[in-house]
Amino acid sequence: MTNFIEEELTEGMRERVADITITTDVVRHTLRAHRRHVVMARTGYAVGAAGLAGALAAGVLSTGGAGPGATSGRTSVAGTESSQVRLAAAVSASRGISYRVRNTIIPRSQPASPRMVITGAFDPATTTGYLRFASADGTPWSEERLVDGDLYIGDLVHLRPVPSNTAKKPAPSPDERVDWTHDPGKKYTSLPYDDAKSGVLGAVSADPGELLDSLTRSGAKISQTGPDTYHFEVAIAPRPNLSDGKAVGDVTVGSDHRVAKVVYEATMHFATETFVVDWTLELFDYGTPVTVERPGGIFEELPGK
Amino acid sequence: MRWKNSYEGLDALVAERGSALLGAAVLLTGSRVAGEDLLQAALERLVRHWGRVRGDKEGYLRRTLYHLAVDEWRSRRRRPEVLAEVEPPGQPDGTDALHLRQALVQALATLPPRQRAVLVLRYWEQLSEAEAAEVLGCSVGTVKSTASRGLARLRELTAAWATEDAQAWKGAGR
Repeated sequence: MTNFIEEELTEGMRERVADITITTDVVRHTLRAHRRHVVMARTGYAVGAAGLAGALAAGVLSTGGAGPGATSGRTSVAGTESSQVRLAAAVSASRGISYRVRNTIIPRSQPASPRMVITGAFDPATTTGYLRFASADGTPWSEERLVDGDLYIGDLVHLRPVPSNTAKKPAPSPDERVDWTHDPGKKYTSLPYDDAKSGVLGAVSADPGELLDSLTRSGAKISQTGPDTYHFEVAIAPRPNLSDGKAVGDVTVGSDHRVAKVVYEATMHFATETFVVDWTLELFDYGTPVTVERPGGIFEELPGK
Repeated sequence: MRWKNSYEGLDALVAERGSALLGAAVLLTGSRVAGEDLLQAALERLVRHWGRVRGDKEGYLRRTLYHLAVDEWRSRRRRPEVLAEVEPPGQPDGTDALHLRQALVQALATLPPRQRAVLVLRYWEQLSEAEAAEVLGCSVGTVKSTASRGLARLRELTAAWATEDAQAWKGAGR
């Protein structure tokens, strides 16, 4: 029986993986993840980075449920409609339009609660925008630029040194001192939030549609607490290594009937630890143009092309 | 625009061995998605130590893959293990040998990761006990005992296939 089991197990394994082939995207994702981790670790934001990265990568505010989707604009909202529908209208009005963003993230359960601030802008009409990641004192460590769908990711920590003798050559521009990652074969329709698996930076979404989508899903508990404020509570869907969690917070809708601010606390229970993270997402300057320049400098070649 | 490539040879390594390693990762985790995650985690560790890994980078990658798979078990060992149902077949026919093989692979995914890792190394990678021990960083005796326990568990989980029936199905399916 044992030999028979061994033979059948061997054959069964071969059959199971017979059609499995790898894609070169795995290499690209790996290098992006590595670059982000390096940048984070070297800037001192590595305090609990591995755990925090896992926590955030688990997708805060992801209820996993099928939602009703976006609703019509604010003008269609009647006084008798539910809080969730009214909030969904504000979310809908905040999508498909340019915006500027400031996102402050404080992993409260981590030692010293290292604060991270993300500032940026995005215009979906031109697929142009940027995100700049910085520590609490404002020192930036990474930047993403999206120009007409072309993405550039820069390491702002390890700048190339300025040559001592610049008599014969002009001094390099700040961009030229940065190592940039760029894949010329790929066009992006938004800033790459789909790199969420890469860790903490990639997991943070500044896209109001993406971030707030979960508030319009059926699993969210929404209550209106004022003329333009809403309280919400959503469950965080279990994922590998994440047993459960929830996000509780408040949304403020601005005078333009678009989402202006989201403040919430996310609690995530992992097998060995619990993470508590405070988020403050501010959205403003809706509809204003977003202009971003392509960088110069050194470009990391991504294998697998 | 100037370019540099800090990971010379990585794309070739993945092109040549990536699918086989992904296959191992799928068997170790039980699913394609989890397998890709595992392989990516191992690749990321390789990239992190790229400059310090001299010589056999594929060997380093394989060892890392298996160690990560086993470590995952360690981090989850306090959680109750949920064993998947392994459905017995109906009446013997020409497809039952195939069903048995599928059930064995399904049952493999329910084993503790160390047993799973040993069985994948021994019966899919076709490594000797000594080679498997080297990959896992344990003794040959540990490989032997772990493989024995794993196979015993597979026999239990597929107990619906009695010896005589199995032999009959084996004859019918091949």
